[in-house]
Amino acid sequence: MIESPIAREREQGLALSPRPAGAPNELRALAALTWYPFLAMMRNIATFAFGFLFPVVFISVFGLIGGGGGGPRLGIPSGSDRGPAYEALERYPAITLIPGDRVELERQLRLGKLDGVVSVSGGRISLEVNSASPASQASRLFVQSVLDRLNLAATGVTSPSYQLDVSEVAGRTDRYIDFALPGQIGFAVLSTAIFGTVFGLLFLKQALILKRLLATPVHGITILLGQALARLIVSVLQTAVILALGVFAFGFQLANGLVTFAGMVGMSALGLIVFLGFGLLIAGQATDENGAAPLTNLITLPQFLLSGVFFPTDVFPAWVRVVADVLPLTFFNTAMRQVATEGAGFGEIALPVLGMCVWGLLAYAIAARTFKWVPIS
Amino acid sequence: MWGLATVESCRSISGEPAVSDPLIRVESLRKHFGSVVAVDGISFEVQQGEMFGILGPNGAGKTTTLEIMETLQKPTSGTVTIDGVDVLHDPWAVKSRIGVQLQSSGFYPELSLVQLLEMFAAIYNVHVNPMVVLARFQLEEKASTFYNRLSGGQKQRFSLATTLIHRPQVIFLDEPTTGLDPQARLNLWDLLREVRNEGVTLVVTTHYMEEAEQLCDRIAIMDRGQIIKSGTPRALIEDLLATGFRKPVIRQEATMEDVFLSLTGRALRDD
Repeated sequence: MIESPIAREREQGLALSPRPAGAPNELRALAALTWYPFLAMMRNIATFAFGFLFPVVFISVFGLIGGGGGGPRLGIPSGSDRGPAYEALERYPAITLIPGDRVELERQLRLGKLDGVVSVSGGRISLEVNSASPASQASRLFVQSVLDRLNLAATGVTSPSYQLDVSEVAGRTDRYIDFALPGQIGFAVLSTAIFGTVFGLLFLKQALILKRLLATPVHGITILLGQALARLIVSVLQTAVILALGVFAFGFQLANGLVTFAGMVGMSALGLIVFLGFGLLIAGQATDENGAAPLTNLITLPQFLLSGVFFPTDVFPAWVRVVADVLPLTFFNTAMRQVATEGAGFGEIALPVLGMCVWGLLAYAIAARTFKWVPIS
Repeated sequence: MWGLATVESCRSISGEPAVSDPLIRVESLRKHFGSVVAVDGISFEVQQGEMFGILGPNGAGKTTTLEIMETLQKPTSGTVTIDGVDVLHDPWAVKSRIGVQLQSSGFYPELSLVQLLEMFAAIYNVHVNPMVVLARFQLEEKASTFYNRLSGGQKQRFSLATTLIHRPQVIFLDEPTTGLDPQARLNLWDLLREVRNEGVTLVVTTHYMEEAEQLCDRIAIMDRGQIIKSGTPRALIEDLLATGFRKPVIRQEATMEDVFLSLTGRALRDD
């Protein structure tokens, strides 16, 4: 036989002679159809933007909103006497002094941007407050407290006869980040489950990837299960990233530490499985992005606005709440907040979890009936 | 377990079925999409080890015919058997006997060639060395390149590689050379001949008559869902000449393709 590359390969057993393939191993196929699509997803810009970048940016913004001290911001006109009174005000930890021109400071006070304008003239401290602002009214207490200290010091009293002992219960301050972070997890999970699945699956249809896979001895359900598992990994990673950022950068409080962390990750996994039903429902019917976009937005946008992602649902009038309270993302956010801030166990969130599951079953039932594997050409 | 394995290996060792026994048998195949008739009652056979070409203008029903054989579409009526297995009855047995190259793409753009090969190997439950497969198709330098960064010729070579990963008996190629430059096309022809010479049966659709003439052992010409003529390229030409057809003879000892290839060489350019 003539020595050719093919003959050599045949000797090495590499030639492509017909030979029955090994029986398909559905588990090995599932592992591959989870891992490789997961890799592809992580390299995809849309997954990164919706799943990681947006929530991280939102969290950072919300974290900074809640970051300012709780005390009053007082304007102090340039030209105030820099005596002991001034120093005492400056040293008082809760008060933030903002020097500036008197006219400008008073304008800002009227606009509610300052809590007061304080001026020092010798032993006299005068405070202007904004009658419309409770925070401004409260600022007089802080200034009064500074004044009391000065008076006591002036009269030589080092240990006052009457003292107020304030003790604090070991509780938590409910800051905006504590409200916003679970909402952002909801946003990320819903985005990954619906936007990711709809546009991801449509891409697989249009790029003929789904068709190419369906020509192999793998069951369609295995392909979908792999997609679902890959998105599950993505959403668990999202939750972990958002939580890590919240805890380490913005002091987000986990009610019971690691137990709460695990609970929140578990909740987001459950959320992903439920919301995935909606993603499959939309992706199974649409043949292109134009067909999918209206339904996708119809399902996601009202939930982003009404389900307590950015602000609590109790700001809505009763008739809106009737709708808002039964949306799947509302159930998710409610359960997630209870786990996050109250350390709720499964028994306490059973009702919203049940609500989610009902929605999920509904979505999967419809998706199973209407799913189309390939675009009708 | 052992008994089954022995039966399997016996079947493959005993080798090819009798020459007269076709590998693929298509009978009275019909496919309607609503009122549109895409495939209108065609019958043909493909022999073990041959390269069979399906020619025809756009919309003739080539791709639909191919997709029915590939288990991707169900016929309205008629039967297809591959290696004695009815495609409608046991699509799963058929799927592991065939390899499929679609008209375009079909791969995750964000995965490297090695990753894609590993994914397909797992799906077919075979073990391959991705580098050996890539080397065979002159793609070893592209091992860690993403699929979407390949040139047209490289994509088609890679696609061919994935169709062969599980050593199928037959591969289906839908317009494999459409859009390729002459060098890439010639290169793919060489690869297809190599694959055929190893005993793999090929079913190819194409728009290029030259390709069909050069590559295919037998050809079926389709139009409006029907096979209007079939046979070896030589026989088809003889038949036409027998009708009295004569091409106006222009004495031309070279074609523009010869000019192009002599100027630019036959070496592949897509790296």
